[in-house]
Amino acid sequence: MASTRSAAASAPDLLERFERDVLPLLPGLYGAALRMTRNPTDAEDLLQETTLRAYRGFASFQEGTNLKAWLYRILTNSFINTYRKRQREPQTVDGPDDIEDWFLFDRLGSRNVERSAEEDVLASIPDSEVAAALESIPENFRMAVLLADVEGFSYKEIAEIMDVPIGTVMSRLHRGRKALEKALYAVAKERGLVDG
Amino acid sequence: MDELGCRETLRELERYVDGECLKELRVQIDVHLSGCEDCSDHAEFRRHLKEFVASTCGCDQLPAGLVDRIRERIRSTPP
Repeated sequence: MASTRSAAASAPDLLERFERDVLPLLPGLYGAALRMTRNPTDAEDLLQETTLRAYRGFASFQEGTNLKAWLYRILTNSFINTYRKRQREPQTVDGPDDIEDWFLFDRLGSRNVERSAEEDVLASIPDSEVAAALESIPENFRMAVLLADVEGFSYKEIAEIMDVPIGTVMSRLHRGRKALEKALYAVAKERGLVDG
Repeated sequence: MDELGCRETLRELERYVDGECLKELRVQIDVHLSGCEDCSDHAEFRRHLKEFVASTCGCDQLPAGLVDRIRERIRSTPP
């Protein structure tokens, strides 16, 4: 009987539910924390802080609503409040940009190389360098790409997580992907995978 | 239904590949892509790049003992 249950009695339930529902999401959250902070020590601290905050707020979290998005929102806020200040990264503004829309396609797409060549070039880049390329792009863009492409969130969910309008999500995603394409191309060039 | 040109298709491809187009537009793009090799190549490229990023940037191993450290900290925290 929930109405007569004391706070002391419900605490173990809350803990059990938290461990059951939240702990399985830690690997994904850790990966996101790593892309945000760009180093394992800060990523671990950020994940610790995020889970602690989440646990403190868990009693008021509505079961059945979007737990994953809720956790990523806490992760994002914790990152912004704590680590961004520490890292002192210059903030990007959502202004105009100068990279062409199909940067990588125009260089690796099927018009220029064999059908499989583009996939071969990308597949030849080690995972760690792809992650480094993603980490090299401006933070707001990086978060949008991370949330959409790695974590599979919808635009609406990303808007809620980042607390911006959907139009801003689309613009950051678009510009983030272009920046990532450019960074990946630079890696490919450096490794001698493409000419030029 | 209006035919969609290459320019409009390419402009919408990112949202299309993200699964964020409304049904009517999605169907129009489907129709265009089935008859246009160039736009279809662009769509395939976008899709592959998205999968590539997901598969390379989403598989970090949790540091040893981190889950236990987190569990311990939570258990000693009043909710």
